[in-house]
Formats: sequence, C-alpha cells, structure tokens
Amino acid sequence: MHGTVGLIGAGGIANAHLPAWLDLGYDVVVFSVADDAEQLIARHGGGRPVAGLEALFGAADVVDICTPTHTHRELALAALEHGLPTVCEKPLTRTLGEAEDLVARFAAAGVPLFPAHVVRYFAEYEELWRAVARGDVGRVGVQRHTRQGRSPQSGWYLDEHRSGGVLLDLMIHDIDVARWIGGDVERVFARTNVVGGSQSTQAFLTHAGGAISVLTATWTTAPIEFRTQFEVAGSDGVLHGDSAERRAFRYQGHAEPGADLLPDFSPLTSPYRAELADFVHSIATGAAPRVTALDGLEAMRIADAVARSAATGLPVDLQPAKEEVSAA
Amino acid sequence: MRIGILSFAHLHATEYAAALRRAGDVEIMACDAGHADRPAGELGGPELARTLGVGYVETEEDLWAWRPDGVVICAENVRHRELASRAAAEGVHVLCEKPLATSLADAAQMLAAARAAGTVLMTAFPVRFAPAYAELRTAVRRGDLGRIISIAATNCGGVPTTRDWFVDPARSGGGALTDHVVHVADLLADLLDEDPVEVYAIANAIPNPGQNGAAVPVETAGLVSLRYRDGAIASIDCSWSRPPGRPNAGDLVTLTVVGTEGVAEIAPFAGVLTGWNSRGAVASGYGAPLDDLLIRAFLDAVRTGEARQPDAVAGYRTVALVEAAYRSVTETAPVRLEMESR
Repeated sequence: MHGTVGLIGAGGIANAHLPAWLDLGYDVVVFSVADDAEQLIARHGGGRPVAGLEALFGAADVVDICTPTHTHRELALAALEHGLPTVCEKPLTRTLGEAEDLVARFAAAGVPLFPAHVVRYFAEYEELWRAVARGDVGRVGVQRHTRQGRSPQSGWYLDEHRSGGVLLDLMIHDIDVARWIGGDVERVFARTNVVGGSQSTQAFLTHAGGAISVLTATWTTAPIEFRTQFEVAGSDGVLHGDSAERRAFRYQGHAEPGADLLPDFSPLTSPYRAELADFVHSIATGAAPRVTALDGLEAMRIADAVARSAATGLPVDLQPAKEEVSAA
Repeated sequence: MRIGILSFAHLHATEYAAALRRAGDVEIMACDAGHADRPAGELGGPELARTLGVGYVETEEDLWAWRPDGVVICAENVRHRELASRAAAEGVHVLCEKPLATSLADAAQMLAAARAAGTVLMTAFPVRFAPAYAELRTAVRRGDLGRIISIAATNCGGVPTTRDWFVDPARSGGGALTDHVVHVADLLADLLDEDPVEVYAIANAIPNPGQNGAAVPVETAGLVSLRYRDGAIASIDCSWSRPPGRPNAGDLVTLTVVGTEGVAEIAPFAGVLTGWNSRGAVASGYGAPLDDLLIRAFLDAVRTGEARQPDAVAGYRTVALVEAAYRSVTETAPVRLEMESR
C-alpha cells in the first residue's frame, strides 16, 4: 500500500518516523507549528512541508501525530473529523479522561487509532514476549522493568501539565510492556520523587493473574547514558535484558558523536519502521496490530492509577479491562 | 579464645567454621542438636564437624559448659531469640546469622538481654564488608551522586534447598521476604544513615513451586517499596526467582543509586569467572572474602567486649522492616515503620 502520510510535528520522535515512512514507500507531508518542518525534511532527504493542518488533512491518507503530549487529543479529533486513520505518539493523551473519550470516538466512527507504543517492536522485547509465550519461564511471577536517562533538555517534557513527566513519557512504555507480558493489572502502588530537574517514579503492580511487577522510570540531571533493563521470572526460569549489555556495535575514540536522541535509521533494525509497517498492514487488511487503541487506553488507565497512588500514598484498585471492540 | 557454633541448621555455619579456622588461635566447638531429626541426605552432626575440622559436643548444655567466649548462632531462624538470650545469661558474646529474629518482639528481647548482660550481639551481614559497598558509601558521602532521588535494590536467589526448614514458616518465620530483604535493608540503613518511614510490599508464591507444581507454603517472590523522610524512595526485589541449577551470574545482590549528580551501581558478587565445558556453563566467584572479614570483626568484638558493625541494632532495624513488609502484604496497604527501641 502506498499513499501519503500527514506528519504533524517535527521534533524528536518525528526524526524516527519520517525515515521509516519514506522507507515504507510513503509520500510525507509535514506540518509543525514550531516552524522546524523544513529542517526535518532536509535532514532526512524526503517529505514536503505544508502550510497548515487543513492542507495536511487534505493530502493525507494516514495521519501521524508526533507533537507534545498535551496536544494529542485535539489533533487526533481533527484527524477523525476527516475520517483519517491516525497514528498517535505515546502517551495517547495527557489525561485518562481524554484517552477514554478519544478511543470511544474513533471506535464509534470505525476509524483506526494506533498508539505508538514502540517498545513492543524493539527486538529484545519482541524476543522477551516470544520466550514467555512459548513457556521459557513457565507462569510469570515477578517482573522488573527499568528505564532511565538524562533529564530532557526540551522545555515541554519537564512541564508536568504538558508531558505528564517521567511517568507518561518513560514509564508508560514499561506499563504497556508489563501488561503485555504479565497480563491485566488489578492494583497499583507508586511513589515518586522530584528533585529539581531529576525525578524517579517506582510503581508496584499486582496483576490479575497473580504476577507482581516493579517499574522504575528515572530522569536525572546527571549526564548518564539512556538505559533500559528488564528481568522476568516465572515458575520455571528467569529472563534478563539490559541495553548496556550485548551491544553489537561499540565505538570509543576521537570521532565520538554527540549524544543524539535517536540512533541512525536502519530499515532492518528500526523498531519504528516495524511499528508503522504493522499499523499500515492493519489499515490495509483489518488485522489487529500488535498494540491496539485499547492497549493504549489500558496503559493510560494504569498510568493514571500510578499518578493517583503517588499523590495519595495509597494503593489504587483497578476494575478489570472492559471487553470493548478495539477501534483498530 | 573459645568460639562455639550453635547448630548447622543454616549452612553458613560451614563457611563461618572455615573462616574461624583461618583466623587462627581459636578453639572451635560445634553443637548440632537435632541433626538426627533432619531428612535423609541433609548433612550435619559430628560427621560435618569432623569434615570442617572443628570439635563437637552432642548437647547445647555441653556447649555452654565448655565456657565459650563467643558463639555463632546458625540455628533455624525462630530459635535465634532463645539461643541469644541464653548466651547473654551465660555472659557469652554472639554473632547471629541473619535475620536476627523472626519478630520485632524477639529482636527487642535479644537486644535487651545483651545490653543487660553487657555482652556483644552482632548480626551476620557479610555484604557490609564488600569493597564495592565501601566504594559506594564513600562516593555518596563525598557527594559524587548529589542528592539521592531513588534506589533500586535486588537480592534474588533460588529457593534454599540445602535445608527443608527454609520453606517451613514455623521454623523460618517466612520465605523470600524473611530471607532476602535484610541484607540490602542493612546496606540501605547504613548508606543513608536513616530508616524509611513507610513500607509497602507485595508477594506471591509463583516462582519455583515445589514438587508437582504445588505452591510452597511461603512466598517465593517479594517486592518492597520504601519512602524516606526527605522524599527519597527505594525498591527491593527479594525474590527467590532463580531456577535450580542456574550458574552464578554475579547478580546475587545489586544496588542502583540514582542522584542528581550521578548514578552508582554495585554488584558486590559480580566477580565471577565464566566459561563452558562439555557439561555446560562453568562459573566460579572470586570476590573478596566477606565471611573472613565478618568473623574477624566478631573476634575483635569478643576480644575487646565492644560490638563492631554490623551490630544488634543493624539486625533489629531490618527485622522491623521485614515485619512491616508482612503487615503491608496482609493489609494490602502501606504501613508506618515502627521501632520501639534503637
């Protein structure tokens, strides 16, 4: 399937999505209120800028929202008005209420909505899921998922009202993964600590199937390398992953480049390409993608419970996930 | 100097016996009362004493009559209180295997008995002597990490299989929460020089079920959440989550300390030589001799009559934390950490 993607936003994550769309054979039109669309297009050698949202919706077959979190809902609803299948960067929205509303409206209109929980397409997490699914550790019992990096330099990330902080920007990934691997969550307890531009959140999940999980997400002002780690132990074994280990390529030397937010694009290894290809396949065939709108909504429901627990200091009980038909 | 070993129930006793022998100039006498009642195949009694090269008496009364200067208590967890109290009454110094006790009330009684008798009571936390921990402590004290935001600690092993009492709550006091929280809780207490104010914990018995997949009668997975007065937060994974036969990966204990100016990680048992042969993976640890350092500290305490770290209070505060964790599991709510005496 070929067509045109309307890419909204030209910041961090757009740099991962644009080359993937181009590699998938799409034409891409880009609109960004930050006036950085030209730069993005020049950097990746493809796409063309458009002057506004109406022009973008007019040209697009698919919309891809890569803007700051607090703007997702409004932009997604605008795309829905045009009946356009929509990819929305995670988190789906800034608040749970917005996410519920958005998912319900897309479902009612029968228009696909894809939350870009890209970690499910990272090779080590795919392999983790496969290993658990084929019974390598038996029944899942206890999980640890950790994600830490340097505090973002860009202003909106550190603005709780716009980004939801380390919880909605980083931990939302591991919330989705922990639920993917350990099943639905029935109780959440969390603590968070913010010191200047540094923050850690630790969330303790009790899954409906009996497993327990601890998720840790950290931004620190210390100059550390971005790192993800997991350990999943079950009735018969344990699995371990650490982005600081088993690197297929390492380099140290004078040519060391500055710390880019994202690595160079490779069609073979890009999880963003795999994710968008899965979404495109779903649009074309109606097959469920690996991560659905309901998965994005459940991640928001758990994240909301994490925020409430951290605020009140008390555990939060969750109702079982509703059996709705996914918009995707 | 005369040092008694009270029971081989906890097999750390064999390592302490070896360390006592290496320390030199120590007469060692063991008593493993009750060894005849153990399941077939569990080592103990006079045969084990002979293998270890230490003396042996059949009854604990015989051991007290031998007039030891100090004893190392390695009995089942629930017997720690009774034996430590008797030692105090005999005027004998004590190094007690962790956990110090299976209830805060027991721990308080042990502290009171030692204080009243003027005897030393130490808790066997060998990881406190790890060079990696010393480096971490120095880095934190020097300010290399800035202000501490969060800590993630793990102490994950397998279900203890050398003795059946570990999974019998009537003798062990509990499972992974009892066995594995205290080592890292002791490190946190010493590192931060502070106790948490609130504890939350969750647990299950999914990892490593018993025969035929039946759940063992104690928890095999546990996660603990701590909050400190200044807002710092910490997590502890104490799970018995390693399957039998897993080669040593050097990750028995880990601490990740996140600060505003730096992040430090320690894995005190990371020193493992790894390889393969025709029978599978080969792994052998080459870390610092922590048991020797602990025994040396204890012998020094016996000699001088003054407690060394890790002392009775170190053991007491970790028992308080474990008790709070169990209360939290029962109440499915966070609980305040309560300590009557320090």
